[in-house]
Amino acid sequence: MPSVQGQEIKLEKLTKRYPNTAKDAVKEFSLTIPAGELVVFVGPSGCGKTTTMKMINRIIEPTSGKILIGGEDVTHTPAFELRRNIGYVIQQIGLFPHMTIAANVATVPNLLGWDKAKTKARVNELLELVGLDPAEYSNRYPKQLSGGQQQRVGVARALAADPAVLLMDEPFGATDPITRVRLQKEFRALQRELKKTVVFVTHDFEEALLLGDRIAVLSEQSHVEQYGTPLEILSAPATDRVKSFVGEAASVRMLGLVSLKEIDVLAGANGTVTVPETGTLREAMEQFIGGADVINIGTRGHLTFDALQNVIAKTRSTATHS
Amino acid sequence: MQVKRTKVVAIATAAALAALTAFTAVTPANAAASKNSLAGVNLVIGSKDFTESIVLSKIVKQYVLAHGGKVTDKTNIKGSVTTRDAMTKGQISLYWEYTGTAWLVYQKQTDTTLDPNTLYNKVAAADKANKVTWLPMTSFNDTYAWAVTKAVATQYGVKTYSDMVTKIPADKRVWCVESEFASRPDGMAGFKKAYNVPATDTIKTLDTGAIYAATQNGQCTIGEVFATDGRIGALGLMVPKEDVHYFPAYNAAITTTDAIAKKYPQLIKALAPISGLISNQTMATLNARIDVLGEDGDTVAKSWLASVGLL
Amino acid sequence: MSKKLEPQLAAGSVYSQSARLIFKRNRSLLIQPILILVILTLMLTYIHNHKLDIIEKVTINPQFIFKAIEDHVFLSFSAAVIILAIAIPGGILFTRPKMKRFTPIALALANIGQAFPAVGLLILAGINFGFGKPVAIGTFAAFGTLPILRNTIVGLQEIDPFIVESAMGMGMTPRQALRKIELPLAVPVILAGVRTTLILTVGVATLGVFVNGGGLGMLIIPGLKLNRQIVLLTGGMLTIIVAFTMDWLARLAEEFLRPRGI
Repeated sequence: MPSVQGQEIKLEKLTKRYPNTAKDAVKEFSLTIPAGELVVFVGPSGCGKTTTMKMINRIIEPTSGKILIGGEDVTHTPAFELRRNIGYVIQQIGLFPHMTIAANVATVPNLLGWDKAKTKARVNELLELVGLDPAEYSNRYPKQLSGGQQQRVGVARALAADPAVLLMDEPFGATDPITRVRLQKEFRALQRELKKTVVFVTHDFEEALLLGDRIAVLSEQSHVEQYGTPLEILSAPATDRVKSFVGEAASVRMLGLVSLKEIDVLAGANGTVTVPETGTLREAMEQFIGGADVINIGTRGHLTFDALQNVIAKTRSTATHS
Repeated sequence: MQVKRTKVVAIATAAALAALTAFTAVTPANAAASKNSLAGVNLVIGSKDFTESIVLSKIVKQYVLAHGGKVTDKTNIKGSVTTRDAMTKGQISLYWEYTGTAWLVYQKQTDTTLDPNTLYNKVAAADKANKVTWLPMTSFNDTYAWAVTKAVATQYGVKTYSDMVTKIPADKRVWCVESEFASRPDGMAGFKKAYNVPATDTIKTLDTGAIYAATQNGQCTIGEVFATDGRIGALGLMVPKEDVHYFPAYNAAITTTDAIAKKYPQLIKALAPISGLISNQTMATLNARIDVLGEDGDTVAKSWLASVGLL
Repeated sequence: MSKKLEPQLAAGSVYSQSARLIFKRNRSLLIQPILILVILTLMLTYIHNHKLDIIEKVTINPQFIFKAIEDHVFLSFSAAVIILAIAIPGGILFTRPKMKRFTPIALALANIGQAFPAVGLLILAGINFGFGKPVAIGTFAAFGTLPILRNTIVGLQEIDPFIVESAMGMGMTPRQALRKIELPLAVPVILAGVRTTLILTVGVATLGVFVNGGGLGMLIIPGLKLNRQIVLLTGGMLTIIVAFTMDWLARLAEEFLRPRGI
């Protein structure tokens, strides 16, 4: 079934002030999330990133500000209507324990009144999409599944009605590190195919780098320290806050973000080692560290160490000026 | 003169003796019973669980205490049979029982026509076999009775129990009894037969105390009450005449085991005159002080004993 | 995890239990009725072997006993229905966000009903509102409301708030979330409360004898006062049998209504 493409989300001066508190939890948060992109809100705990995300589907009602989805002001539409068109995945997963997996996934289609046959087909499709065999899992109950499996069901449930927008709050946090990496990679592949607009909250910068088309680094009251592509943030951290958040070895990690398909290469392929074009600058650097002098980049050309350094400089300069 | 002096002495002595005799003759026999006449007497006094039974036992208790005896108060035991069993099993020393109850319930007799004295004699004689001693009985007869409000009596011209059945219209006849009365052979079942009460009459089962209030406020037309209950007068109720004799006599008497009687003959002698001093009116008044005026049982017992000079 | 698949459920269906599965899962559900029958048999044997005197015959006869049981079941069941009609909606109401601050007041009021001495309250009610079954039932209901109100509130409060948040996040209205998510999940706790209520009302209905309500107290109180063991024991045993039977029926309902997966 063809998937509905993501819509642009525009947040204007979103503010949340809890009663009897001295400061806003979120202060005048403004951001545009381009359609079809996965934007990560990342920051230390307590910075208000989850609160901000939860204001988009008004689980937490904004004290003031505007929310526009696909150009339409949804700040005051009835909350339940809004939410039926927004997928929602939380860290605690929150599957309904008294319903089967199939019934869980079918929640929003049922709320929207889809006919039974269509719903059933969609449920099967989604379970397969998240890697769970419908024949085996449809009629199980959440308590019979592992944490990772439950998390997949959570994602399937969020996608069931094919929403244009997805909100995800540390969705892979409740799993072990190995499962988490697998889930992250699978989700990235999924997102590339579905192209939903996703707002993804995490405190894990590696996860942000892996998944995000764009990253918003936040500090207290959800103040936006920097909003840019992973490459931009790694190569040119805007403030000290961002720098300390990004941590050590930004440059080296940046290498992993640059695909060998995009760089300039020197003509000829007479190097001793070949690195496939699907790789990144990081793989190229690893070869040089290993002792190679000249490496072939697929069949396109070759790189020397000097050439590599030029590429890095060019990448950095492009990033800071874009 | 010597003869004159002897005469004076003789007259003086005679006068003194006469005075002494007169003095001892005038004071009640119990004055010979001093403050410690019952010293060494140790009793456990029980009673049934209604006001009259309790206050009668309190009278014995206060008397014994005032005369140097020791008393453990175990009044207010639930149920006639339970109380009697407590005595025969030695858990209590004595309590006040009623001739009618003993005759019908314990001795399982059926003849209810006997006059109070004959009944008492037969009951006391029969109980000798159970090693139970009956002290003299009261003059009051606290039998079961039916009460109606004065208004009902006037409205329907009710003067007797038969009038209740014949003059009060069927749809207005609501009888209220309490559960023990409903289950006793000398209770509701027998009365219905004796007075031809129709089976269709409404009979409600209530808590004993509730019956008085329910009769007064009209929820019952006819309430099962006790003849010497103080609340009858206090709530404006009246008891019609028992024209067909049904209810047996219920005079009260202290009952105790032969063992206790043998152990404390001075106690038996001292207690014997008490019951004769309590008439229907007296009993009703004592009951009313507790049930209507809210006085405490021991206080009422003490004040009555003082009023008849027994304290 | 069992390899065998559970029976297919219709999409969205929450309840559906097979009787066989229930009894297999819970042996004591079969044992309880057997126990009840054993007590009943013992009681009947005891009565049969005992020569009844005229006082005992007044109460130990089929007509009297059946009426007493009938009245007793009527009293306790009616009181239970009233209690549930107040306490379950009340419990739902007082766990809604807007009403939460009134919860302590509601619980305190329900508590008062429990604190009164039962017979006194019954007679007071009878004098003011008339002796008989309706007033008795109303008073019993006043006693029994607290435990089940508290139970319902606790049952609803114990539901994982993230499950409810998920439900709201999917786009359920508050009423839909209550109906599809909160109530099904609170059912086990609520049903346990129903069982408690029934046992409680069966016990308290023995006091009906004091206010013309009938019931098994009509055996127990005379049996006690006239010291007739057989009458007292019969009344007592029948009360136990009624209580156990109501409890068993409630447990059956609980098993059928418990959502699967919990």
